[in-house]
Amino acid sequence: MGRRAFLGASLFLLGGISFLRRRQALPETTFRSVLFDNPEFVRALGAEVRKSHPQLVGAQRSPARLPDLLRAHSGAIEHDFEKGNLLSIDGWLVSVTEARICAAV
Amino acid sequence: MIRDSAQVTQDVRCDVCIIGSGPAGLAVALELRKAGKDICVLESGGLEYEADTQDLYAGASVGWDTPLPLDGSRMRYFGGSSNCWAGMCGILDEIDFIPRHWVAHSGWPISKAELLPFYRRAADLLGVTQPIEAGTFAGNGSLAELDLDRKKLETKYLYGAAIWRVGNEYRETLSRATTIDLILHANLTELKVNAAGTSVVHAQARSLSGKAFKVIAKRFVLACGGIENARILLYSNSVMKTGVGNGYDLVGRFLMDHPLVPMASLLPERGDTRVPAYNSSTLITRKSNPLFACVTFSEQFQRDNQVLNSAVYLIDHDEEFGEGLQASVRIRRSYLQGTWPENLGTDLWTILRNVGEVAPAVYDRLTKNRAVRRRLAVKLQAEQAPNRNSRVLLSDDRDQLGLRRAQVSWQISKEDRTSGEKLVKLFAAELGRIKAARVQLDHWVSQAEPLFPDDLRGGEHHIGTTRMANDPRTGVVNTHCRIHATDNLYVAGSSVFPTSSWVNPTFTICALAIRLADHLKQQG
Repeated sequence: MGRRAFLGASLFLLGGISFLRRRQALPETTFRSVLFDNPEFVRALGAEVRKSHPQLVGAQRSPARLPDLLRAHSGAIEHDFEKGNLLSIDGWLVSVTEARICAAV
Repeated sequence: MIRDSAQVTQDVRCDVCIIGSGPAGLAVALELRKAGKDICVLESGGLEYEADTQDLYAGASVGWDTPLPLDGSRMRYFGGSSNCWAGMCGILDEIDFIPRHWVAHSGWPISKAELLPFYRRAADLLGVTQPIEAGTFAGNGSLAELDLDRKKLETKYLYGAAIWRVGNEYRETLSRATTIDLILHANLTELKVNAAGTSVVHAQARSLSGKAFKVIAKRFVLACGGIENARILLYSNSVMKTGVGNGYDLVGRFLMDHPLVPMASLLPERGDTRVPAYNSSTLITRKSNPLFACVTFSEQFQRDNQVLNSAVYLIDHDEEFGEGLQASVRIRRSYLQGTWPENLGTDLWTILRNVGEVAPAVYDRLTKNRAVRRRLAVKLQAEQAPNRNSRVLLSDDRDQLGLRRAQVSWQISKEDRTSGEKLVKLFAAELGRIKAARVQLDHWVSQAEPLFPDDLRGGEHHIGTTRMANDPRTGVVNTHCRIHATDNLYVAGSSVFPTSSWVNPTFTICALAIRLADHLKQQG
């Protein structure tokens, strides 16, 4: 590979990486709380919901991913906060819908 | 002029004798000076801190598990407790002045409107440049208010005073003043009243070295702080056995402070720019135009839910700071406050040892990539419900002057806790609703017991012990801050507040002191 080709390929690669990073940084259209970024925390929260609020737990675990579930139920979560449908799980104030989701995944 | 009690060769005669040279006493003195009154100010200490004088403030603290420190929370030398003041200024809310049927003993006999002009003059005295009546983040860069549901919660502001140490600031003025006689090392040992207890005849003063003299004045102003004002009235009992102005057993009662306690921690949402604006730990270091945002219940919510006027604010969560960052914060604060760091060598060494922790934080700061996701603590600054049994008494111990020391029984009630708990829960729900942050309540908040955890502290704001009321059966002083039972003894300071609000008291103390001075100017 000649020097010119190498520089061209490098620039193309850097541009591509930069573009992809930029795409990743674009804001999500649906809000998802930072609280659910940590999988370990979500697992612990789910376990606590199953233990202290069994009535919120469905019969089957959901095969869907947590971010998808949170996105799909973002309207219900907002509604919970508007209406005060909240629970304290290990001190964290979460919406009832969020608690159900954490218990299901 | 400023002189030492050792230089006093005869009894002093003046128009007004002011006892205490803290913000309240100096505010009265500086105002009266404009009217050409002859003023004598008695100051127990010297121009600087002295341990033996400070020891006169020692006393017993009983009652609440967390004792109210008596000698560390007040300063007994020129400038008074402004020497340990953080400079937070705020005006009381409208609802603080109104009788609230759900708060026993609430309501001031004066209105907020009546006090507003004096707040403006207090702003001049303390160098507060913000528009005090309409708090706003305007002028503070990109800071933005939380869009809270105003039917429930409101943002309120405290302003940083440019003049904290009133003694230092006004020392030169007092030195040059020909009508002010400031006498240092002059402890008030008794307010001597006539046989009927209706008039102060003279103030008896004495230095620790034994120099004694009298001050004979037309009027006397007690300006020694919420604990000492009550103590002096109680120990001035050679004529009236229960003390001066204590015919209805009210002197020393209704002691309040602002219970301060962390109640929750908070995790700001990604990229949120509103929550950091409420972080007092950040804002306190702003050199110019400092502004502190708190969140309180709206007035309507207080009425509808019968809660106290408490506030929450945010601070850095200690757990998020390692040793290195804590050391760098101490150095930075000292620098911005214009003081020399207390343990500079140790702190620098701590930073070096923890450079791995400090360097990324410095990088974040320099690149404006503030650690927005860093946890913050939610701290309560509570209004206390007035309580007759929370009080200042005289102990059996005596100080170097032979005077009975103070014994403080600071009582905290269930209402104080209930309102704070409701506030932090509402705040947590609101932050979730507006997608600003998520909140984790501290463990004890969800438990019925204890009422408050061990790390509860008072704000060192001693309030209510000579409360103001129209009726002598319900208050010690009248609306002019004159002791009901006497015709020439007045009180300046937070001891006259009938209720505590959530607001730091010094600004209101100064406003009331200036108002009192205006009243005294009109007297013969």
